[in-house]
Amino acid sequence: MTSTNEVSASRLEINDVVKRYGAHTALDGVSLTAEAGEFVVLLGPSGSGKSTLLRVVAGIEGVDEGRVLLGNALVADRRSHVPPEQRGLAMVFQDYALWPHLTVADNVAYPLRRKRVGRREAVDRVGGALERVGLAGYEKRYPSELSGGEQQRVALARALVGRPGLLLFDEPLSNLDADLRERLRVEIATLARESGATAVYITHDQAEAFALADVIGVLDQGRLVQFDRPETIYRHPANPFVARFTGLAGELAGQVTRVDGEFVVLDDGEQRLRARAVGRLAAGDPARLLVRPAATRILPAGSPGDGLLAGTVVDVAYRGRGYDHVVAVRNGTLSSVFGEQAWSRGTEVHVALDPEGCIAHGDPALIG
Amino acid sequence: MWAGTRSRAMLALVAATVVGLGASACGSSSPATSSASPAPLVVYSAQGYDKAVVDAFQKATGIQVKLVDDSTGPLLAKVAAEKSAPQWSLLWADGAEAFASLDSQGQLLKGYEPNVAWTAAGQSAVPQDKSYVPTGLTMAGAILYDPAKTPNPPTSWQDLLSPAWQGKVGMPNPAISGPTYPFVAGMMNQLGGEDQGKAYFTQLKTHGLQVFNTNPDSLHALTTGAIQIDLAQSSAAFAAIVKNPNLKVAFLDKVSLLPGAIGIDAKAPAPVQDSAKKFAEFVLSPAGQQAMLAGNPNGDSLYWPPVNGVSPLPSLPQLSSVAYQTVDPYLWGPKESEINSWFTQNVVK
Amino acid sequence: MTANNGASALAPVTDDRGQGSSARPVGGSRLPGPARSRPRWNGPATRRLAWSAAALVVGLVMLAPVLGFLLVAITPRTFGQGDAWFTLAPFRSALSGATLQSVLNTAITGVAAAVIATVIGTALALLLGRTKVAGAGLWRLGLWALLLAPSYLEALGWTRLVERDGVLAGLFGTDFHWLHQLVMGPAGVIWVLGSRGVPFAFLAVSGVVRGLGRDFEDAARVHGAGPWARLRITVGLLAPGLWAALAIVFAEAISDYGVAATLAAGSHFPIATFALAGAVTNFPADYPTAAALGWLLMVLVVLALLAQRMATRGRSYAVLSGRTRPVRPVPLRGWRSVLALAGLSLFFLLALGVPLLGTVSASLMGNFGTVNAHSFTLEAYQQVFQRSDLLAPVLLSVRLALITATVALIGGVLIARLLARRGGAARGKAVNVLDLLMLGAVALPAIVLGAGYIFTYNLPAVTGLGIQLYGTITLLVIGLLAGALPQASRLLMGSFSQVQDSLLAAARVHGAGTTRAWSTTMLPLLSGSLLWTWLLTFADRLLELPLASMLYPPGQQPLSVAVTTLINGYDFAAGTASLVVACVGILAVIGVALALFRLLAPAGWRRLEQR
Repeated sequence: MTSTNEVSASRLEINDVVKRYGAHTALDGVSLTAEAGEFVVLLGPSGSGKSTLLRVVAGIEGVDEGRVLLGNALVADRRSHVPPEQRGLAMVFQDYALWPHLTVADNVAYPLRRKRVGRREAVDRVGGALERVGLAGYEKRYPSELSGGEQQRVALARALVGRPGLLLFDEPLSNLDADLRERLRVEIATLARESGATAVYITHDQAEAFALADVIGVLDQGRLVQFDRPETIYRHPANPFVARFTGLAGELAGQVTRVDGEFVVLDDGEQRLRARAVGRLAAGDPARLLVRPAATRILPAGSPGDGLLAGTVVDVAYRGRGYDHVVAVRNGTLSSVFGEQAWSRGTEVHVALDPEGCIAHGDPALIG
Repeated sequence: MWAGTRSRAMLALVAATVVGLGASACGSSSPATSSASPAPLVVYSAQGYDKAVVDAFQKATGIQVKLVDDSTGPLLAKVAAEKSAPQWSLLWADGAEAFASLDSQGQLLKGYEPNVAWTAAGQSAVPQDKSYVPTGLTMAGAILYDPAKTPNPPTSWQDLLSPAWQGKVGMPNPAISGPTYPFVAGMMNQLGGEDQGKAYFTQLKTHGLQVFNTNPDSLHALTTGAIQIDLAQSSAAFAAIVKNPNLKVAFLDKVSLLPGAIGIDAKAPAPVQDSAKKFAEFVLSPAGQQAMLAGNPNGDSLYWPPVNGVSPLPSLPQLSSVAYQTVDPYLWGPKESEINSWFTQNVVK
Repeated sequence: MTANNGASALAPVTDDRGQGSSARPVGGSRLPGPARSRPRWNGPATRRLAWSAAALVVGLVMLAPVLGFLLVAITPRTFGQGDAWFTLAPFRSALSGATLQSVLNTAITGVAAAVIATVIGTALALLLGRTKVAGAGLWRLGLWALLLAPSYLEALGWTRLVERDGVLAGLFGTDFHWLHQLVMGPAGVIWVLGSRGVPFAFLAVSGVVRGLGRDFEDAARVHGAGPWARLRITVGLLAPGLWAALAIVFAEAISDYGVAATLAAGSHFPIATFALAGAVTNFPADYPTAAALGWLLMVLVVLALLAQRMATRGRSYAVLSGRTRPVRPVPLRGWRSVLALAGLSLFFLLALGVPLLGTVSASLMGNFGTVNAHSFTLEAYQQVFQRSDLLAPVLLSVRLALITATVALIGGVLIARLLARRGGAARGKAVNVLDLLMLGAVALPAIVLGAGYIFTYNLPAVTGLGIQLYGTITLLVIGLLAGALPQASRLLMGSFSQVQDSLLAAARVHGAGTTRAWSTTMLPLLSGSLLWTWLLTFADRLLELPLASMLYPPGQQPLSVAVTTLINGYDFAAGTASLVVACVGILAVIGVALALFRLLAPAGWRRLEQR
């Protein structure tokens, strides 16, 4: 891959962007910066505004307020708007968006033709791009003759072939089967980084986000609620929404008994549990304990130690490397409780919680 | 979806429309501005020979004429729609009733009569207030039949009510076919009034009168044998004979005079009215009558000239051999809509 | 198109009231820089201006005449049609006696025709869309031919067939009196109007059939549904298409005049359009009552639309997704195939064969159309080609049809794109109004639309403003356009809703400006539909009569008016013959255009051909 070095990645800066559709505000003051060459994943449920944000970056949508800068050039504010074709970017769509009247080669060559790349070079680059996505020899076929996975690879080749400074991905894997999804995700991660371009990728799947991202932005109702490295998002979710959306085994109610630096001790009525505090918490505050799946471990009933929750196995699922259990504890249910061996349904067990994976939150709205 | 696509797309529509219209406007008229030459005319006509006459008139006088030719119904609909600002300078159609209606609404220039030698029949078609000018004469209610199939045609209007003619008589619907109303009105007139006339047509219906939409439809029925007697305008009947010499025309006692006439727009500027008068005079001149007689020899040219010194086409009998009446168009014109809708509801089918 | 059809239905709801700018790449830049990509001003004010300009033009084209005509009912004196500045009397006369009866007849006819057309149209859409019935191409061609044939030809054909001593009597030697009674009455009227609505229903339903995929049927099957139950499921899923079909056929049926003036008029079954035209063409013309009748027709259309809304409201039929499995057409074998072919043949015989008979018999027979081997003559056709006075009308009509079809295509594309896309609530309302207006324009018969143009553009107040449109070719083009736009945009709408927005977005994102994005993606994707829409509009407008006769400028007769003149001049055979020649000419144009498309269009475009 000698050619990839030609790409100069674009730095993307979004400042206080607001986008409204009539009375509905789709983006409500979103700001973020993707440094050149970074892989940014925007994570959020449907309706959170992540698609709108991507379309704003692409130039498909304009902004009502705020600014978008690409490579330090202003591309959109409330008065001006650089159309998508002049932004030097490429995009992979959820529904592939391959033109059914063009062959695979013509589809991939489209961006090159727009850039008036010479014929000889275009053929080489199309061949190279198809080879990189594993579709060498598919040039003459039409999209309708390909499977979903193959179509999305063509779309990926089309996005890469023009060596864009910014690569956009609009939930590219959501229409694919599970195993294919995994494989293509790896390819996207590899090829996007190989290309050197800045990438913005949107998804509602937290596993996808953690696997791909240099930086994750979590969107909720048009607001960017957290923009950080995956590790930080996992350990220090800005709020319960982020915590929930990035994966929880369960939630338990309790009361803060003691504050210990960035940790607090919670009393759930039976046990004292240590957890990382989010926001200001003081002794006596009611709080909610949010438990990451990886923080749980299943132990035989009567195991010695502090912070063990007694419970009953409700369900058990084989996961290859071990077993995931659903355990009913006194005031809640924990799922994805890992054990190397299976504990059959109805068994009394203890669940150990690692404080590093527990988050305490005092949001009153949440507790009610 | 696209930022701005729609507003630009809409602009494109505007542009395309403007361009399209601009392109189309190339052929549209521009008002004549010359003041020295006589004012140009816009002639609305339903006559088959109008094109020939207009050509001859332009050649003879140099006066520009724009012709709008259409069937009587749509033409009169157009005239009515234009009432607030008539675009025609001269209307030329069959049937005095329509002219009488226009005259009662003050749309026709009154008091103009060209200086010509009318025949008696022609004179009888000139209205008292001289608001329109007869240009040719036909008869409403001629009988068309095939002597091979119908050796003994009916001899009187009452005859048609006898069992011999049960289901064998046809006519067009006056609500659809323009020149048929004068026949219906004429029958009512000679039978003594609207009520007597309605009674007669109701009886005809019980005797199987078949009503067709248009004149060609009833002619078609006559040739297929679906009917044996077709009640038609004389020019249409003689036209049928041109196509099919086996057919014959007969006139019962009485038929009604159905003149073709010219009316001039009351609101037109004086120079235009002058040109229109020249047109009427030309039409009644020997040259104009010759053009009328030659213009549509298989159709409307089969009329009796209203002026002396011009002979009808040879296939027409002497007018003196026809027993006809004249009908007061000012009495029957205003009733047209009402009688036609009565006819449609009670006689058709 | 393929499995990735129509995923836009599931795409996030977006709107395009964003800014725009003309798409011209500056300096071949690959990367945007502050100096190279010049941000364009295109604020809300400009957008509003563009919209108002567009609304003004569309309003001028479509609304003014409709409103002008309708206003005559309320304020006749404004248009010189009576003494009253304001009155409701025309409504009284329209809602009494025979006129009221005609409105009721119209409503019944419209509903019955809509049901017939929708049933047959749905059957055809399912047969042609989901089975491998023999001769599919031929049947589709038949549908387009049906769309072309004027309604009065079908009515004429039936009349010739069943009249006393008509074709059937000539063939079988006996009068089919019962058939005569049946055809020359409500049943005949409903059939002709219904069969003419079939292509519209077919187009409305087959769009949905195409996107439906196989899964729903498979789901029904695994849950134990037999063929009939499966059909019920499918038909249930087709509801939006069915209701659209009912609404459009209803609107077309109640505004038809060709049948009203022929079959219906002769059978003591008055319908509103006939009463309306009668009020206008019988002297003295009664425009106020005609206008009141026009209002009633509009109300009927609004009721139909409301019924459609209520039936489909609150239910989502977003069945299309990127993963929809394409339907694999089922081969038909044995009795099923025979049944399908018999049904198709019967329908096309009754709907197409009959009008063909009508025209041909009328034109081949010198003497007013006697059915008799000896009376067949080609004399009329010789006349047509020898008449030099038909040349100018032919050229004028061709020019008018070319302009109208082209502008209608452009306008239809824009309107269809507007209607096909989903958007916010505000846009939803605007789209509803547009939809209503278009159907409203369909509901008014052309002759009164023409009268509306005269009222509006011949008003001294309007001409005083310097708007001298009446009596010009321009106004005739506008009128023809107003008649063509609703149909063109309806024809295109189905195709547009099938194309995902992302196909266009992908082109923009990968470097194409607006124009290029359209020409390289939408144009090829829709090339078939665009071509057909243009051809149909061209053909339809070439022979348009009622509007042309009301609006043609003095001295410039279009073909349809010239033909009418021939027929009025007792040259019935020559008139009909010239109609036949014109129809053959149109078919030849269509054939050549399609052949050229086949030959010249790139391979990929042809792959997309659905029809």
